[in-house]
Amino acid sequence: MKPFSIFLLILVAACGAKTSSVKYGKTTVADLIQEKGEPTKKEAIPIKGSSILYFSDTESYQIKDDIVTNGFITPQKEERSLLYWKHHFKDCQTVLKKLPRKADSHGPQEYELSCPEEGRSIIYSEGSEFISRIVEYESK
Amino acid sequence: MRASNLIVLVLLGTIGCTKKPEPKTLLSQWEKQIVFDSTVERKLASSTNNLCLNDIFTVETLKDEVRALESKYANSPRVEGYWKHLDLSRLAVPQANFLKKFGEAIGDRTNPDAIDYSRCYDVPCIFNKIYNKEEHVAGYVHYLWYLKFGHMLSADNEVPVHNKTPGIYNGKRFKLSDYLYADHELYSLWRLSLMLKAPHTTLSKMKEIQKIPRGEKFEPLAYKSSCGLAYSSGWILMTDDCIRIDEKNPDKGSFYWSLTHELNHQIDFQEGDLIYKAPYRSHQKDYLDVSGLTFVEYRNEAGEVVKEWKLKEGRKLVSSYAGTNAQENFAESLAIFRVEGDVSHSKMDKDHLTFVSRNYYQERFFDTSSQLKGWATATESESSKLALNVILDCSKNPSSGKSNYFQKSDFTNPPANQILNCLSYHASDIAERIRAKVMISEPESCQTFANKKYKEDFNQLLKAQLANSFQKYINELDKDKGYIARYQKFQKQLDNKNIGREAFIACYGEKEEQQCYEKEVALKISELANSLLLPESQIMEMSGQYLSRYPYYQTNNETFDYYQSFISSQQDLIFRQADDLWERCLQMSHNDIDPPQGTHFTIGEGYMISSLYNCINRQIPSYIQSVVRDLTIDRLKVEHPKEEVILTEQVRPEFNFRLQDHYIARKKNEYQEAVRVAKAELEITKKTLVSSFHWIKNALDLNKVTADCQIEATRLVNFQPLFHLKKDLFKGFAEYSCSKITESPEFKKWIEGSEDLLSGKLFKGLENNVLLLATAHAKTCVEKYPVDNLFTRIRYILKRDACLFDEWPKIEARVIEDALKDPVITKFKVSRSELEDSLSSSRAELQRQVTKEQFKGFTNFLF
Repeated sequence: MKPFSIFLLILVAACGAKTSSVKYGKTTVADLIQEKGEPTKKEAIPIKGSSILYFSDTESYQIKDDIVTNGFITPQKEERSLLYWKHHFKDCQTVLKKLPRKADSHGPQEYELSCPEEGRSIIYSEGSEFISRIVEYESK
Repeated sequence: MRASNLIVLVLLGTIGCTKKPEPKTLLSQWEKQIVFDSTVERKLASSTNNLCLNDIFTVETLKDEVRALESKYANSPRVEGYWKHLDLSRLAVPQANFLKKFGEAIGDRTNPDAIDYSRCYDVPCIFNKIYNKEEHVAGYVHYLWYLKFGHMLSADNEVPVHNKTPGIYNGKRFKLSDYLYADHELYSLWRLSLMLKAPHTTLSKMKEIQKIPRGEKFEPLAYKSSCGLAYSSGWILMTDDCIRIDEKNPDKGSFYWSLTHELNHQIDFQEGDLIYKAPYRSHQKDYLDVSGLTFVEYRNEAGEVVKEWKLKEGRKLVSSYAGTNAQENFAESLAIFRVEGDVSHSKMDKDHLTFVSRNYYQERFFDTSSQLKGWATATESESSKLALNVILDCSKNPSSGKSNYFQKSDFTNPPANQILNCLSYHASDIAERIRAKVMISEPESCQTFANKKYKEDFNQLLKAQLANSFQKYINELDKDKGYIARYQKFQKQLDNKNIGREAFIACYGEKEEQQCYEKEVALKISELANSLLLPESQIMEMSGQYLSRYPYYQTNNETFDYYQSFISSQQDLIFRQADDLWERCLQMSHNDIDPPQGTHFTIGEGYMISSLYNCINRQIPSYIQSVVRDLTIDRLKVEHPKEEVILTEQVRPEFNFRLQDHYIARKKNEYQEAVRVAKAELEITKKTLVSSFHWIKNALDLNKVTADCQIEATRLVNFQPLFHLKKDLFKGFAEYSCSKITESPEFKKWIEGSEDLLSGKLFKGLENNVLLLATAHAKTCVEKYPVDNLFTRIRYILKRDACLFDEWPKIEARVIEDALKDPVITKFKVSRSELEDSLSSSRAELQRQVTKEQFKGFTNFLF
């Protein structure tokens, strides 16, 4: 391969929003462990047959009946910027949803901006320029 | 002195002798121009009574404070321009800066000319006109708030974020006075301004604190039960519930806790943003660890992302609300820590208390016992200086009035009776004066001293402190008669804050900043002490004294405070450079191809076309560097590399503030322009949309037809926004253009035509394609298994048929694959199985047709 092509490939890999190798709705827990190693923690959640597997401080996965359904990823570098994602999703038919909150909470409202065709959402707070989480799921 | 300390000192002394002189700092140059003023000293001179803070809450006190704070700007470059009738160049620089920054956002926003400011020549007067009062505390409290915090304590009738129509809230009309503060509330604001230091006073992204009309709840339904709100875009909104003060004792009330809580949210936002590039500082691992909070995040059965917060077993919560989430825990813990110190000590874990104290309160604690010790320590240097004068006076003239303030047992080496009486007489007076000073300078002291036990505890601390000072001087005098004279010279150096500041700047950004600062101070003190021939045994004690007077966190705060004031005095220069960058980048041709990069300049939740955003972010560092390098005081430019780093950090928020102002203004204009374009292009867009339906990607789902239509309508608008996403800006336009499009006659006509196309052309076409491929393949079968005579026709009949029929599924599959690429098939979302069903139903007929034509009909009888 010519050096120029290698450079281009590296550039594409570096600049594009990384896509997960996990196939949500298909990847099993065994597949996930094979790829990520043993989880550091497993936590139950109030959904029947579901739990969360933690692989580091920055990555966790929701499991239902042995299948990975959602990934929760802490954004890194430029992916932390809300503007980056608004630009990334600009041609996608996005959906904006308010996250549920406690009735007495008076902090800024949190939102989920999702691009279903890409199978990714971002979580951000009203007024903030940085996002708190990338959520991955099966694309539609 | 421990031997190890002595070695460090000797080492430091050696380094001190050989190292190059530090470059000069702008700060020390600037400080030379400032005349210090002390309100407290003046008050003390005129009062012998035990006054409390509330007793000195007068225009005169506030004016003195304004004067002291404005003195920092005495030689700063004047600000050009006008605000109404006022020539800004004739105003004190911070007043001019205030009017330049907030001048359009004060007073009656329904009618900027409703208030006659023509007789005002300063900012306090302007605020007092808004209050419809003359020479009142209100004007000074508002202006002092700006001087101390850098943002505006609003006095206007527009509630940002919630309702942009001035004078209207919750659908009701209100008078301007409904948005203003009562006198006891103004006192509390002033008192709080004395209680808080950095980082509360250095919130560079804060814009305004706005009170909503008296008696009202917040307008948005979600916040009806809240008393205060903090927005990361720099606003704090407060209801009456948040500014409750005990009218009998204005030092008490929920106000102190509430506003501190909201300011803590701003610290959380700002540190998250500037340090961690995250929405909240409180969500960082170190805070979660000390607060004991953890969370689990998942998608619930309703498809919502849920974040559930939990408290680790055995950990404390400062209040039940602090368990809501990390950001409320942060705001609540820091507020209660400051305002209810005793409560925080019982309701916060030790590592949490230490973390909060170290990072947000200059290593101070506010429980009563710590406060009493803190107040005593803060006066140590002054009491030591006064004690020295007393020693000198009493050694010359020991006769005085009688006093039994001290007993012999208070000293390890007691002086002679006459001297002891003299010291007692003066010490009692010193203690009284110091306590009086503490009462008007420490906001919580009056309340504390109302408790007799605490008052007595404090008196005992002062007494021990004074006895200790006297004893030290007596001991040294016994050994060396010239000691006092040299020590007095050194005492003068103790007043020199520059030693600490220079040490702080030299250590800025070092790994162990505090340790470095303490070493640097020790080094500088030892240089001074050596020149005064003071005994080596006292050098450590002296640097200890200096450090107790100017501890690291205090110097840190004061230094930044000075830099902030200095930068604020240079606001005009910074704004000019920011304007230049904005215009240059704006004038380029723009596109939204590259991803936005860089976070020097950010725009909150908004949008900006990437070429403009990237241009600004690429060039900001060099612009700020050029601003910093252009800063001069008496022709001195920045020389000290660490000072350049500090100044760069201080200039950035001001620079960004100006850029954000441009962004907000341009965004507003762009929105108005888009409304105009949308109106002009609505009809033509509607016509274009129904003239051709090529834009439909899915004709079978009418909702998706509408969605496709909205995408096309947005694309058709001839307008390239720079400060909005086009799809957001023209959302309403697209919705309106496409409403009921699926009920339009044009769409119905098109869909009928398309259905004919689908059933006729498409399915017939599929069969034709199968026939074509099958005929071609049948010919190859005939070549292998000829039909040139009756014998071969009969001999190969089975093989020939097998040759064709075995290939049939592959032929159909190829035809279906090709068909799925057809835009009509895509548009009508015809599935693979539908196509397979269609070909399956015609398969036998097609096979019969091919064999009949290609195998000359001899096979017929075999079926």
